[in-house]
Amino acid sequence: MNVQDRRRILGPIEARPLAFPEVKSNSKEETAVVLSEFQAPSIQTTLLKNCNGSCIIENDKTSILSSIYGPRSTRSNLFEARCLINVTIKSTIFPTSELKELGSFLINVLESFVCLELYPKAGIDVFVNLNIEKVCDLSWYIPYIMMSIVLGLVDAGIEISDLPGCGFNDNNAICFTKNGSEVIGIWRDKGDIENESSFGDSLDACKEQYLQIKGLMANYLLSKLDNDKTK
Amino acid sequence: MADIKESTVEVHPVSFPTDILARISPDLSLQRHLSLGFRPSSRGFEEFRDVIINTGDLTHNTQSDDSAVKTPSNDGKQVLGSCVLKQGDVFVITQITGGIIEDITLSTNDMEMEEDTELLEITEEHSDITKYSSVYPVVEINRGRMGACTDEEMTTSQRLYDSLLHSHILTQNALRVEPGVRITNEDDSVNIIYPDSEKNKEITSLLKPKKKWSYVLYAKIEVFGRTGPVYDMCWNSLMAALQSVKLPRTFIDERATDLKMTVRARGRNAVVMETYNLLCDPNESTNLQLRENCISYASSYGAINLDPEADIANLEETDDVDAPMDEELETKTVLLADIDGEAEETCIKSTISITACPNGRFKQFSVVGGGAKITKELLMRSITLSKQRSSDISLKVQKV
Amino acid sequence: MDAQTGYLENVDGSCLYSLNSTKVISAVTGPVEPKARQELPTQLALEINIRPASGVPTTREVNIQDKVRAIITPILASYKYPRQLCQITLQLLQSGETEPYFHALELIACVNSTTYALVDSGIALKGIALGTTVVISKDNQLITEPTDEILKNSKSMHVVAYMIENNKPSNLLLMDSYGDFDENDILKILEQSEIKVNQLNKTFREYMKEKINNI
Repeated sequence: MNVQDRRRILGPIEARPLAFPEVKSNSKEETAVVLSEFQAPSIQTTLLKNCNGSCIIENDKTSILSSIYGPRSTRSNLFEARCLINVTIKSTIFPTSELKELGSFLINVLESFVCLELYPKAGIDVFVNLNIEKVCDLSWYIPYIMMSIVLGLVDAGIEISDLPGCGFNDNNAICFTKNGSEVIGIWRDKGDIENESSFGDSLDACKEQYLQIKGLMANYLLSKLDNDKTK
Repeated sequence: MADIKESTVEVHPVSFPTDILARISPDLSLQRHLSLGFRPSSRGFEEFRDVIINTGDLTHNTQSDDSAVKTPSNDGKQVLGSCVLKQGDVFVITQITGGIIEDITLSTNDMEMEEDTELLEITEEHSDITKYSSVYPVVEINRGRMGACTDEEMTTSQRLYDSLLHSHILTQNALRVEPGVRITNEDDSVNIIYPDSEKNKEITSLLKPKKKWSYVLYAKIEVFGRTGPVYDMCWNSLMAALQSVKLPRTFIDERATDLKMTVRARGRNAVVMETYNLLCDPNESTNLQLRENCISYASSYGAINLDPEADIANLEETDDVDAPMDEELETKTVLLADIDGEAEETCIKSTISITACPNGRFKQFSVVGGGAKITKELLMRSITLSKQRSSDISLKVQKV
Repeated sequence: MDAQTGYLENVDGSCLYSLNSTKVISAVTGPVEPKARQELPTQLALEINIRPASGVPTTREVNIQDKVRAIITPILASYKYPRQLCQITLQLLQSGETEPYFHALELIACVNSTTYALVDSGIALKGIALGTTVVISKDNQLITEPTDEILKNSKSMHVVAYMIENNKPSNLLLMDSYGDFDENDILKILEQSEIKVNQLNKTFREYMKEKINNI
C-alpha cells in the first residue's frame, strides 16, 4: 500500500512515468519559432459560479482559466490597511518552483494597478489553471495569463487603475500599464540580455503586443457591456 | 432624557429577495419552489441539466500520422486521454496519464499459459476480481482554498476507484505491456520491431527479457465552479476520458536487453534486479481495450418530503386541485433528478446514485436514506430515469 | 457473530464486535464539549474516526467513515444535545477481506458495533441501525455474510443497512452496491437483507435484555 500521501490515491510507488525518447532538436526549434507569434485568443468571462470572477483565455494549444475569489476576509488577525493579493498558478507541465516564482512576480505586478486601499482587511485570491501543451517556455504564456487575470478582476468587480497587459518577445515578457508609458514588470526565463539595443527592440515589440492585447480586452469588455444592456 | 415619548411600534412583515431567502432559509425556499411544481433552478422535478462532453482536446497523441504534433512533456507524464465535461455551470476536466510498472507477481510461465486464454477472457464474463484493474483517480475540487484535500475529494476519489474496479471494465490484460525491440541496423538506421506478425514475434521473443510490465493509469479530475454534488459528473467524465485513451507502444533497445544491474533496495537487503529502460514510441499507439458492455454512466437523485405548510397553493386557497382533501394529511415524497444547488444539496438528506449501462445493467448503486423514506416506487422511478440518462450520455460520448 | 459491550473502561460506550474473520472495537464518547469548529448551534455534532487493521488511515478509511456517518446521523436524537459532540472511534483488529479490493465487511462491522456501543453509552437514539452484506454469486445465489473468498468471486456485492424503530426495520439507511446486477437483483437483495436485519435485531434485543437482567 502506498503511504507517501494518504489523502490521495496515487497508485503503486514502483510505477515509473512513461518515458519518451529525446526528440530531435531541429523539430523542437521549429515549433518554438512558429508558435511564438501572438495569436488572438478567444475570451469568455463569468464562467464559474462559485467564485467572484473568472475568465478563460483559449487558443488551439492553450486554455488558461483564472478564478478570482475576493475581496473576502483574510484569516490573519492583524489589521491590514491594504488588501492582500495572492496568486496561485497550477499546471502539470511546469515545475512547482517555477510556478511559485511566477506567482510572486504576478503579485508584484498586480499590486501596481489593483486599488488595494479600497479593500482594507481583505484578501483577493487569484487561481490560475493552465491546461496547456508544452510549446514554449513559461514566459510565452505570461501575456495570456495576465490577460486572463485582468479580465477576471474586471469580472469580479474589483477596482483597477488601468487595463494593463503584457507582451512577449525574445524570451522577455514585459508588463506595461498607462498605454505603454510605464513598465510594471519584466520576466525572463533564461539567457542574459545581450546588449541594450536588442533589449530596446524587444521592448518595442512587447509594447506593440501589449497595445494589441489591450485593444482585444477593451473590445471584449465593450461588447459585453452592450450585450448586457440589450438583455 | 426624562420624558420619553410614547410611540407605537409597528411590526412590518420582513420580506427578502428570492436569492437572499434562499441563503437564510434554504429549506423554506426549496419547499416553496417545489410547491409551485419546479425547483430553485427552474428545472422540473425529473429534469436533468444539459451535458456537453468533449474528449481528446488535451490529448497529444490524437493525430497519430502527424509526428510533428507530438511534443513529449518534460516530466514524461503525457496526457493519454482526456475529457472536458460541462454540466450546468460546472466544468470537469479529466486528464489520464500513464506509467509503467514491472509485474513481479506473474512469472513468465504463468503469462504464457494466460496468452492462450486471452481471447476467451475478453469475451467471457470473469468474476474473479483479481483479473481486473482500475485507474488511480485524484479528484480536485477548486473552491478558492489552499491546503489539504477535503473529505469530499477523498471520498469521491475512492468511490471512483472502487466503482471502476468492480465494474470490470478494465482487465489486467488490457494494460499489459507488449514491448517491441529497437534495433540499430548496420547502416546506423534505427527501427522498432513490434510483436505484431509471427515473424516479428519470433525476433522479439528472442531479444526481449523475461520481465513483464503493465501500464498503470492515473486520472486527474479537476472540478471547477462546483454548485452541488460532483460524483456523477466525475464518473461520466472519467468514463468518456477512458474511451479516448491511447496507450503509446513501448520498446527496449536491443543493447539493453541483456543488461544486468545490481542495486540496493529496501535498506539492508541488497537485491539483484534487472532493470530495463522501457521507452515509449511517440509515433505508435494503441487504443485502450475497454470491455464495451461495461461502459456505464452515472446519475443522481434525491427524495424529499413536501411540507404541506410551505405549500403556497394551500395558503391561498384551501382547494388543492392536485391532491384530494383526504390525502392532504399524508406527506408526499417527490423524486428530484440531478441534485444541484445549495438548497437542494443541504436540504435533501435522502439520495440515490445509480451508475447504469445503456443496456440496463447496473455497475454501482447507492442509496442514502437519511431523510425522506425511500420507497420501492421511488427506487423504480429513479432506475427508469437512470437508464434513459445513461443512453443519452452514451450517445453524446459516441458522437465526439 | 459475537458482540461484547462495555469492553473499554475509559469511554462512555464500547463494543468488541466480530463477524466471521472481521473484528472491530468501537468506542463512543459523548455528549462532550466539541471543538469550536465542530459545534452545531442546534444539534449534536458527530465525529467518526476509523483506524485500519494495518497501516495508517487513507482515502479508503475516509470513504468508510463517510458511509458510517450517513448511517449513524439519522439514528441519533441529535436535537436533544445542542452544541455538543459525540465522538465515535473504530479500531479494526482484523479486516477479514482483501483490503485493496473491498470494504463491505468492515463497513458493516463498523455500523453494527457502533450501534451496540451507542446503546451502551446511553446517548438518546431514535432507533438503531443494523446492516448486512449480501453478495450474488456467479450462479446467481444470494449469500449473506460472505467470506473474503466469496467476495472475490462474486458477481455483485451489496451493503444494506436499515433503521429499526419499534422493533422492525422502518427505513432504508444505506444501500451500497458494486458489480453487475439489474433491478430484480436489487429488489431481491433488499428483501433478503430485511429478513437478515430482522434476525440481527432479535440477537441485539436478546443481548441487551440479558445485559440488563444481569445488572
